[in-house]
Amino acid sequence: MRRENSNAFQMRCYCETSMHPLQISGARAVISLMLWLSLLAPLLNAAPMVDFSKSIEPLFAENCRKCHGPEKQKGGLRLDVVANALKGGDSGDPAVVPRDSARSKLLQLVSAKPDSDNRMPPKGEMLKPVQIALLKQWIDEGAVWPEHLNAATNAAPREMVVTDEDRKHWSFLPLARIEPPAANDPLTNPIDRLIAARLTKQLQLSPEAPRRTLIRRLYFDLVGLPPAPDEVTAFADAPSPGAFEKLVERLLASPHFGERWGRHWLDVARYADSKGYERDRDRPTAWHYRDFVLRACNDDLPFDQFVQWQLAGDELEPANFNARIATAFIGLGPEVESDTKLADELARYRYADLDDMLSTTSQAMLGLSVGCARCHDHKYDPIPTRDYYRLLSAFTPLERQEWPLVSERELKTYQAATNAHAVKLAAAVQSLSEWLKTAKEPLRTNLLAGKRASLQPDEKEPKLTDDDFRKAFTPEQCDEWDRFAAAVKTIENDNPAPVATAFTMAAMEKPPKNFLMKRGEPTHPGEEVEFGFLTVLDGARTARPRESTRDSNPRTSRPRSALAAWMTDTEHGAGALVARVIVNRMWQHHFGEGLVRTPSDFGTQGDAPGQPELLDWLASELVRGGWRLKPVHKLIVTSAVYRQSSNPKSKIQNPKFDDPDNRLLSRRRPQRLESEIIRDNILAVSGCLNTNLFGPGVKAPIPAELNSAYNTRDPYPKDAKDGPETWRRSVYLFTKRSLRQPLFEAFDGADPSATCARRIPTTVAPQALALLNDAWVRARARDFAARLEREAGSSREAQVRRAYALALSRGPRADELKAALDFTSAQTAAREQRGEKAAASLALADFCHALFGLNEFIYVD
Amino acid sequence: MNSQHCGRFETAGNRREFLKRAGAGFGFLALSGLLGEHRLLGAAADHARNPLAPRPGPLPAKAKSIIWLFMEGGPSGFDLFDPKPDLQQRHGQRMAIETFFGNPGPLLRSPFEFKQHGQSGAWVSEVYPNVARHVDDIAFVKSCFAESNNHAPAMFQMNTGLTRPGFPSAGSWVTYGLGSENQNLPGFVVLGNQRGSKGGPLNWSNGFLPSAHQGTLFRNGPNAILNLHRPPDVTRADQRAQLDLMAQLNEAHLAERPGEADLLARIQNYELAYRMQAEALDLVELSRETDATRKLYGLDQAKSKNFGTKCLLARRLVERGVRFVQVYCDEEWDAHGDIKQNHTDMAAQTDRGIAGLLTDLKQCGLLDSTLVVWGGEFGRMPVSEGGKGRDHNPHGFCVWFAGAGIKGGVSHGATDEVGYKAVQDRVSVHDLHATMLHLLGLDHKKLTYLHNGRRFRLTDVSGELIQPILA
Repeated sequence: MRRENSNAFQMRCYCETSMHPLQISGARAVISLMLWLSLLAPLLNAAPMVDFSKSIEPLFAENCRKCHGPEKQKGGLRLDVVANALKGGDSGDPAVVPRDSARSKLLQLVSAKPDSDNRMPPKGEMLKPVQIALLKQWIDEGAVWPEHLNAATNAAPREMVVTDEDRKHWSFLPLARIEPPAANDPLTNPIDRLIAARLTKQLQLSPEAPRRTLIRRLYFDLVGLPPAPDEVTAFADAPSPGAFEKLVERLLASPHFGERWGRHWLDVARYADSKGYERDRDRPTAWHYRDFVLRACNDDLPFDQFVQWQLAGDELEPANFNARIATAFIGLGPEVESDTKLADELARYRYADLDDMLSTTSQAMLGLSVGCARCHDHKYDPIPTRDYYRLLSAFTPLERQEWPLVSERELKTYQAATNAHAVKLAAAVQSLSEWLKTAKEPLRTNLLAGKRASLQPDEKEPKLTDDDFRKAFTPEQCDEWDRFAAAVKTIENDNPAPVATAFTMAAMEKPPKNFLMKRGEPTHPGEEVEFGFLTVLDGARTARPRESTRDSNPRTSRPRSALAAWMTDTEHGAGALVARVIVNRMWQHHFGEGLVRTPSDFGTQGDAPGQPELLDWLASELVRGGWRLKPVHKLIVTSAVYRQSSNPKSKIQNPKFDDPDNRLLSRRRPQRLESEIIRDNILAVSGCLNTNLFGPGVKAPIPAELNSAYNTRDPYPKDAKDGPETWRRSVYLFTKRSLRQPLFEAFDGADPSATCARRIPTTVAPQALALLNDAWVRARARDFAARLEREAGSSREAQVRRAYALALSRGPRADELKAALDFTSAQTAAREQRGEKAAASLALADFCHALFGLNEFIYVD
Repeated sequence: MNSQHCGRFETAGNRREFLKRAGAGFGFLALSGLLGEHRLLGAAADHARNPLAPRPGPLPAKAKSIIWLFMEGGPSGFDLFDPKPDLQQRHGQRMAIETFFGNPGPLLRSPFEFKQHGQSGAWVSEVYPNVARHVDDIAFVKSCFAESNNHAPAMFQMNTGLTRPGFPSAGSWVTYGLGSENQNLPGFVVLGNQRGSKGGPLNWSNGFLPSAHQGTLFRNGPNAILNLHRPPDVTRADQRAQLDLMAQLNEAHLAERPGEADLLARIQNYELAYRMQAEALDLVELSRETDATRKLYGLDQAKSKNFGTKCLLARRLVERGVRFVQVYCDEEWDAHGDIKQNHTDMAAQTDRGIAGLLTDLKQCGLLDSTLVVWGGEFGRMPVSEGGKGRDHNPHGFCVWFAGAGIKGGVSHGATDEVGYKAVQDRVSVHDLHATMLHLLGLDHKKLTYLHNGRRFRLTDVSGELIQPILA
């Protein structure tokens, strides 16, 4: 990219760390003047100098620059350019004469009487007296105007020009044609051949992990649950040819696969069941999107279609509920709900919302931080601000809607029923009021007179209430009144059953115009913009319209459909990048780290791939296989690199071992389970897991003392019950943005405020406190103990063996068995000594509880 | 008063000391030897083990800790510290103004009497008689402005610099930059509002920073931290036995996987949690504070007791080396209905706690190393809402600083004659944050975190020090 004028001073930027030369000279000017003033100090009042940037600049910006700034220069005057302000406008009188406020025209005009012809500002509020005083003082102190706030020396930067050089960044290139090295053994996995090419003699792959480790690894990786002890035994002790592949296929076909892998995408999609901010109102039908994602994983919906539906399902397949629901993706982020009418405030909410849509989409699918180009051209990547607003225009015509999940005919029937009901209700209400009017009228005068008589002197005219009339009615009239009222009530309660709906995004009736917002401020619209693709991935190329987009020019008439088609178009669009980003995400979840370790930043500041050939080969395989993910999963998990041992002993003893970051993938690192999987694992091992699939979010209990968000409109229940209904897989738990499950929060769960590409595992005290003290964890430990007593009988040794098999997929070693038996008998004795009744069971629960705290329980080799 | 502890507690000052204590009792030395041999305890492993290890900031620090008295709801500057004679005179006149809930009324004079106090002669409203005694230690910033008119976005901005949720709060940035002096307590503690805050825990979220930097919510009473208490069917001896068994089994597991710093960190973490239970319980045990101290903080009166208790806890926290403490007021300064009633009440709830805290910190010598900040998410309008109330006003409000590195008895900046907008020496939320970081020894432009391709800062893209209030 070229930036022809780098004096981009008005372009405030977070990335600016060094001081700009102008800023320094400006600072020097201030210093010398202050020195000068300090010499005069004894003569002057000790009041501090007026700070231009904090007192005068904001005054000009708010009151003057609309007419005397970069856009308009009424009367030839500009109050953002020093030279112009000194020279003054067309009148020829200087607007500002340093150290002489009396001769400064500006001061005369702003101090003019409100009704005089030449007062400034001409409309609205005058400047406040304190502001006029500040202006005067500033001028008399020499009108110090730091150069970095002088627009003339900071002419707006020329717009970034995206060049062919920019298109050479590795992630923007077409997918390289990679031919894995030839195999001696045709059975070897191409992934392994590609990796072997980068390894050295000294640094080879680690040996294959033991089969018990492998089955546990596969289970947690693919379905997020522990394997049943019988399966472990069968797999480990009686290896049959092809058993590993069969196991992989079975797990990929399991309905729990979607629960595990769908969750990864839900992190990226910042999925939650509420809106966030102060009111944090529920989105009670958003779960349809979650189920769509889970089913898409299970059914291996081609990823290009998965992407397209999420961007434009409503346009591409309007009659397909799944496609409609998928489009919810765009609007899953937080949304302010407020009663304010302040236009600026509302514009800010709207653009924060839109920014979330574009930023999430670009990071999730393209691995690019397009959001960084909102206020100025992207600092590092070739993304001009113009691209930001052109892309944004695809989202501006959208609004959040509840989409009915019934056929058009059913919907019409429902609407007809609703209308008929409304008519019926109105008729009943009218009968009631007419009867009441007739019945009340003859009594009114007398009743009023009676009330007036007992009125206090300062009280107003009395009003008659229903009660007053009721007392005056005959019993028959009262009965009749009740009959009319009951009729209304009956109709009211007889609402037509509402149709099921799903939260999604759909077009609004009147799409707004799109503008390039100056400095990213929603209150400063600049020129109008039309939809366009990301220049660096588009250039002279154009997107191929899909058959399903019927319009002749989708770019202008159906921008989102065009965006969706472009996104997965490997020839003419962003398809190569999208394929790289998704296979990298897959690799990351299989191995703990991606081949590119910044999974949502494939830009110039992101990590370069440790294995570029492998990344491009995998992406090509994905596209070649019709964008189906499961074959790629299978390729990865059947590779030798995936099946390596995580025991690095042999490596470490090798003095040449020189890959501490494991970029060459010569060993496996133990992976800590994610927060949801820790909970699911505890549920599964204790025998409590409720394996029902899909459906509305489940509100599991959250300690009332954490219920600390004030003024939410749909408060999370303080009395949710702990029981089989809530012992569902964690992916089904209701996510309230202002109140997350404490266990998830402690174990680094994703915060749905924004897209989350990577959870950073940390080790903090609340995790240990939860595993040691949390009432829910303790209750499951007791359930686990009860399960052991049920399944292993009363023999302590059998119980311990069963516990190890269930929780760790192996038997205890001799020292472990001894430690367990010593522990449980000591605990039984201690508890008996305290006179506890179920001492043996509680001691077993103490043991089970300790197993939940083992590293082996929450790390998978 | 405060006979047992005056000044900071002795804390595990360095990592070696911490590790020694953390590892005590289960063969840590052997393990560290094993790891050290393989040169795998590098800086990354170090941070993975203890992101809260104390480390000095790049600049000389005036303050070791911050106590931020968060006046949720938006207190009115010109009803508390910044009297406006013009507002009194022009009572009943109309002015062009836009308010959050619409229908602005005419200008409404302050219902409170003001007097000058201390040597500095600072004006303070009659509702804050005890705070008024400390004006010579206070620097008032009377020209603050913020972006949003709405509570939750404004709270997010005051805490994180941005009006959107999902960014790290100031306390998280500070512990990310400096760690904390006490390894048995969280580095960033939030003494919350009893009925909850608008926007909830996102106000003290670690955002994209590692979760060790998340604010930990403390509640009044013995259940200060979630899961601080053992389950009812587990005694301390039971738990000790469990921890010993886990240590033994985990150690064997680690021996098979040398070099995995995470696994070692987690072993130590259980011991930390075990010690934390004792230390946190000791922390919230206020019964040993003298009657004089309790009275000083207003614990003898129902109205001031809750907030006073939190102020006392705040002192006990900084005394123990906790880096960042936020104290939320119990109800809100959100005086839509009746400014006189609301501010009289809110001031009565907070006056003695704040004054007691300043007095106590000063007596202990802790005020020299503790920065105290008072302020809300915005201020209030000079015009009336519904006759007696005032609507939100982000255009001009008052925040004050006291303690470490602060010049006492000064006033900085001004709003216009009626207090509607900040006009002189305007101070943004980023300026407030930049100043807080500076006093702790951090440069707000250099405290960055690379996330999704961007170096984020607490102060986003701007922020300047409020020089005139610095000592």
